[in-house]
Amino acid sequence: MNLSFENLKKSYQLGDKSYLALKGISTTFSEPGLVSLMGPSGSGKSTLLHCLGLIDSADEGIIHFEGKRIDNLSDDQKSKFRLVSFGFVFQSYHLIPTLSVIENVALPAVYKSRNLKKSYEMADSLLQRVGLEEFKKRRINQLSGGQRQRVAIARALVNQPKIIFADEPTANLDSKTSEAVLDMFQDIIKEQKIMALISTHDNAVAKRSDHIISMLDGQLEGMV
Amino acid sequence: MIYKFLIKMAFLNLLRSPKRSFITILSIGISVLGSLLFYGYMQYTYWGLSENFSRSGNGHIQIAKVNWFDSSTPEKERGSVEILKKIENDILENKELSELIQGMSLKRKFSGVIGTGDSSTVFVAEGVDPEGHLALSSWTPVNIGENILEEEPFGVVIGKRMAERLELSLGDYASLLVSTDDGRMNAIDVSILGLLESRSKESEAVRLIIPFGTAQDSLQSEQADYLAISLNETDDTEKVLSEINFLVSNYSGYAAKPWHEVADFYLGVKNLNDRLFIVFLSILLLVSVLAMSNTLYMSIMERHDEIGILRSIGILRGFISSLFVQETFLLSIVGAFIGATFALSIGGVIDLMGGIPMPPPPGASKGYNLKLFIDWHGVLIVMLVAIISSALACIFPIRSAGKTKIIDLLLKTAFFLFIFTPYVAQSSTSDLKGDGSQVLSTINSSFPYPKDKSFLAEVEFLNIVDGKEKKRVVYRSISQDYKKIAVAVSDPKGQRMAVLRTEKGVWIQKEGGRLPLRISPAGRLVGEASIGDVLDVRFNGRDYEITQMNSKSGIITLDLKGVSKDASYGTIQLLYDSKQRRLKKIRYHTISGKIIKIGEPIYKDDDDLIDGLNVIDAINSSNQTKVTFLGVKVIEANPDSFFSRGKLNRSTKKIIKESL
Repeated sequence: MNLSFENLKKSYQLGDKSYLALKGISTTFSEPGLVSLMGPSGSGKSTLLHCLGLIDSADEGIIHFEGKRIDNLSDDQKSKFRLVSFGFVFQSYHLIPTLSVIENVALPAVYKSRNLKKSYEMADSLLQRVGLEEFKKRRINQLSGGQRQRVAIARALVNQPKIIFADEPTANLDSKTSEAVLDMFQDIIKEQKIMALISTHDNAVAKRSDHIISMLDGQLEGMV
Repeated sequence: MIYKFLIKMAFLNLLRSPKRSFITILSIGISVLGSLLFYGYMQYTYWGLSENFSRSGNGHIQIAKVNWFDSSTPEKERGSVEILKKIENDILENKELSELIQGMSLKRKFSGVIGTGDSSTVFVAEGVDPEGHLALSSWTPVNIGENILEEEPFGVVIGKRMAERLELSLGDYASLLVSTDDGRMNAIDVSILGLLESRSKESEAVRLIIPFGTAQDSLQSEQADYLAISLNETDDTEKVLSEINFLVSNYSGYAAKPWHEVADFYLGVKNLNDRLFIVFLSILLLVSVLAMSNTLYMSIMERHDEIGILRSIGILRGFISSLFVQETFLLSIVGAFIGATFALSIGGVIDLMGGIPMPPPPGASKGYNLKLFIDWHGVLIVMLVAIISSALACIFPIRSAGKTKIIDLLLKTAFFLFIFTPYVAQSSTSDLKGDGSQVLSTINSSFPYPKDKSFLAEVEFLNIVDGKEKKRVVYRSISQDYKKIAVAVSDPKGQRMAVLRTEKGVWIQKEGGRLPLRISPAGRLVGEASIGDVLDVRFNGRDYEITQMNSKSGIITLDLKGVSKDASYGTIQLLYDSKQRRLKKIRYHTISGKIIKIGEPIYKDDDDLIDGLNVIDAINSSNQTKVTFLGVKVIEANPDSFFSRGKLNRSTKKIIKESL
């Protein structure tokens, strides 16, 4: 597993001025495990995560995944790539409110395999893994924040991705729930040998990480 | 398999906004209902015109000499009575054919003068077989008296207005003066058997019906205009026509034509109404496309996050589009079905009532009962057009959503839903910057800072983490237009600092530090209340520009976008209660749209002035800063003593001095 990027630049337009969120950064991630991106708000953590996860495009720079250049793929190719190789966990969970817990988890698998039975079986086992099996028929709005984030994690895992991108996954959770979610997340990552890139303010997340990358003003400050 | 999922999602999404779905269904239903009612009215009009034409003496099929039909001098193209009678006999001999026929008659039109000795007037007569006439004129029965009879060869029926004009009553005699086919004049005496009322006043004043034999004798003619054939069912016209054509083909120079080819008036009205229907249908469909498109646009706007989520997990645009198309189809099918059901029910009820009485049309003397003839053919066409137009309506909104970047879809909605949930569909949005400026000015005036004047202010920051007081600092600040300086003065344990903001940038100097540090505005973005925020909390309109104003139930939401390099935030959102005249909330967002802190204004008394702010860290809500405005004083000159308790080094003092 190898994810690398070179000279990644991304700017946002502020009126008639341009604000550089990523200032030509480069690095390589090559081992499975938890990698934390830390830094103050506005330092470019989320922007980097979005660019690497192909849900946003960098203005300049190259991204390689397992030796293949992925930043220049067409929109549909990027979608297929995200479906097969990437998983996403967001701060605000981003689950589909009209669907039940199991439907939310199964959705990417149903779309990938077109096999409803098999997808539901996979979703079922993941919900068991995250401790939500008894909630599988509930609607999302009937769950607590921690439970929603577990559903989001299960959804991110359902297609057995190689990398999970998590943007402030514990930001909306209290410290106890946050710990529980992180425990479960860390176990799964180790078990399945997945790489997880997490942007966070939370020191508790950083403490668990295999690597910590600090960012400031759109630049990589250092890697531990 | 995936389509099961798709349809379920579409169905659940429709139930998510039942009010909007209902309104959309209603708009499609009304469009379909309107179109079908108009269609039913048109069909009834066509039916009325066709029946009126064919059952008022003209017949469903006319057999005449080929040239007679389109000739401008039809009197020269009349057919032979002998041949037409042969054709009539041929038809009667065909048993199958004759069963479909209600009646037949030779017809001859002519004109002349009718007089009583005291007065006279012109007439336009129709010579017809008395027996056949009864069948041919079932829609124009004699209203007073009797119809023409075989036994009464000189008995005629005249229009009621003609009788009034000539003062004729039933049984009276009158003389007809006519011109024979060879140009001589002839006169016959006739008795009045019956009077006719017709829809047309003009026709009633000149119409006369006379037995064909009498007409033939008086005209001394062996010629007839045509043989009129009335059918039991109008729908059999084409079938009977094809068989009659076969029979007529034996008689050279003769032809048969159906009623719709010879009824000029019918053709004119049909052409006009068909075009009107197309225009009507187009307008209705345009309205429904726009309504549907607007509904979909709203729905797509509201579900930007859902689209973003689906795309972020790798679902292709085509699949997402098909989800919306499914929803549109579901809505349009239900709407069209309801509209059609209502239309058919209304048509049925009107039919049961015997029609709606309508006033006489222009030029007519009698009204009629309006009915609606809505057939399955029409229902199918209108429903199909409604469904297809709905599908067309979703193209633009879907394309527009498809073009939006995933990250924008996710962030926009997070931002959007945060403010408007769950009333997004009902809120009004505008970008009235002018109105927004007024609201912003009102909000600014609720802060205890003098307008356009230099002032000194004392502000207390109380940082609370997990409910415990962590740090209490009092800052003294001075504000002169864009220049603002704050110095911590009452934090004996913590590190004191000075913050200076000028047009050239922002500096911060911590106690013990050698040099003041220039910082970028974005670098100051922390979850706690920023000192920079409360140097002068008013939103100056210089670093931020109003981009949008929304209003819902008295709560005005102003979106301010950071436009200068000194803007600390990507966007700031102000929620102002226009009824209570109070600022309710301030939301601070990063440039990428993420919310980082929320300010809640504190009002301690009734003077509508804000006494402080409670600033909550959006990422860690247990981290709060309570900001209290302790005092504000307008100044003419800057007192040196104001910062005296702040331990500032020389270079900071220099910056302050230069700034002041």
